[in-house]
Amino acid sequence: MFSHIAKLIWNRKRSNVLIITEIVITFIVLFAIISATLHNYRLFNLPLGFNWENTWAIELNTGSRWNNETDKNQLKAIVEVLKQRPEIASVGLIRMGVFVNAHWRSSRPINGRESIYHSNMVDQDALKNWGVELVAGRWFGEQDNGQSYTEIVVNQLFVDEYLPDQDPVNFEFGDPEQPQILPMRIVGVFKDFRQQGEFSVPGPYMFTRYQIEEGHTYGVREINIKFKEPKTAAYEATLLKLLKSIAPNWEFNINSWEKRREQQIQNVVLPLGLAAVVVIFLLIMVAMGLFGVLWQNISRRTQEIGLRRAIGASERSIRLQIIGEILVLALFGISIAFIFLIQVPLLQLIELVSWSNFWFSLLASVSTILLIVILCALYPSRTAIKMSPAVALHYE
Amino acid sequence: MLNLNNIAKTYQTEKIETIALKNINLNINRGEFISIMGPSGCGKSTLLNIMGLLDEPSDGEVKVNGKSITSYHDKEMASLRNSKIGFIFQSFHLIQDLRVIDNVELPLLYRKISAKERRRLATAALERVGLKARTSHFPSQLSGGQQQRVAIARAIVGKPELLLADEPTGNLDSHMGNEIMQILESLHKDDKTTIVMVTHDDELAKRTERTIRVYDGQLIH
Repeated sequence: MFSHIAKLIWNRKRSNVLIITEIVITFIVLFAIISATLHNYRLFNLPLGFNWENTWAIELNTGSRWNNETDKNQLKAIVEVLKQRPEIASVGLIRMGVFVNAHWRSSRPINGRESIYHSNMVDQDALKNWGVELVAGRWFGEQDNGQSYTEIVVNQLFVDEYLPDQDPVNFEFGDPEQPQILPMRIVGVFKDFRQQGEFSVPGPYMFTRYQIEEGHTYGVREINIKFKEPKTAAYEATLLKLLKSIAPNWEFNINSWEKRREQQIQNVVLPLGLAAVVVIFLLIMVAMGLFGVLWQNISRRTQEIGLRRAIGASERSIRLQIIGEILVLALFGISIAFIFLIQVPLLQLIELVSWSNFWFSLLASVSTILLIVILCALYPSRTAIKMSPAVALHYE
Repeated sequence: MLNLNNIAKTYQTEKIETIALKNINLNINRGEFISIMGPSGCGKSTLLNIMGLLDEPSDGEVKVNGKSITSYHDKEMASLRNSKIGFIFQSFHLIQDLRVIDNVELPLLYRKISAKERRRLATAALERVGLKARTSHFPSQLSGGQQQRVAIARAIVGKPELLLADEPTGNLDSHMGNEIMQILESLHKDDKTTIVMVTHDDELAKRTERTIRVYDGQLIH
């Protein structure tokens, strides 16, 4: 029976082109949205690597480029005042803030292989205070002052990627093209720090140390304060007043990590939601189209259905044939879409479509399309068998 | 092989009741070649549909090989139609999107027969009606007479005991009509197939063994 249905569809290919095209387009769009949702869902469920509760970020605007000689002292003064406040548990400095899209990408050869990683700079105790988990070695400390290396801490992924068979603690690597720059020494390994939030793809990450006393040519852009208790927005004015009293020439922009995080989630979820609405709309259109086509098809083929029943097809056979025909049509459309979609993981065109993501999204999309197709075929197939064969044979 | 006892058929609409057949008693014996005649609208086709199990009588009983089919469900009726009865229609009822050979194979799709065997039987049936050379044509590429021969091949491919033909020459000229009639006569004579044919043509009716006349839904003796 399958070959018979396939033959019928092939011989009626011209009249089926539009519906197949509609299925192909809907399938691809559906696949894309499922892939993106799945990708982001998986990312969201990975450990973030730090605690974001009760923490506010104070973005610094010094009014011009960071001048280490003068600005480091102003920053130090702010930090000292903030640390003395009883409501503040800790004060941490960071160059690239958390839950923002800015990042610093660096590279350096390790064991003859070019390593690529995201790099950031924090003060000595920041990571510890934010709840980042240390898995090997130690955090930055006073013992690193004045050494002939640049102390760094890296995440586990960095180790897995570039030092899989080596003890990473105290491993040193320099830049052969720039021998005047101190080599880097890994003093500790932390679990992870997904600076750009839950929807960022985990990757090798490195922190260098910002020393408050000495400052740094590039400076830091944010002071992050962790409160002992949650603070309301009303506290922002008090804080701003305090900051302005120490550095009247600087501008401050205060935002809680929680708000930043919410905004970031919204930035991902909102487009996905909108895309989902488009997909639902498309699916409804396809369903209506299929329903209409089947309805018209069955009216047009009433005599054929009458004939089939006259020569021995039971009601069940007719229903199965109608559902079978539309299923084969859908599978044909899906196969065409598959040829295009398989190129994505094969050629690694889009990072978010991994093989596991691909197969799951494919399965979900196929199931959805086939379910819609079957639902659309149920009622017309029932109508097809309502008419007695004698009447159907003479239907005009 | 087929007995109709006190058959009546009434079509009921909201306003009127139309009596298509009443008090029909008829026995079709194995190997007979029967024609049914009567004016248009007298109930010939309704009678043929009831004989072919395509329509249910409003009253009365139909027996096939001595067994009443009154309590049969759709699946059993479909199986009976498939194995015992072959249909030939005035307007051929060929599926235009299928090739000749696939049209002939259709009844065998509803049996448990391999594709290879289906092809063999369909080719033999086409050979029987002289169309072996046209297996891969589409119906639209054939003349009316050839299309009716394809329809006959489809009707006989499953080797049915009873062949029901509803004005099989109605859409054909006299030459082609004669060809079709010769094939039916040959099937009756050589294969001992029982044939019941509805016709308006007295000359064709005379070539059958028995003629049943219907008038106003009743048999005239």
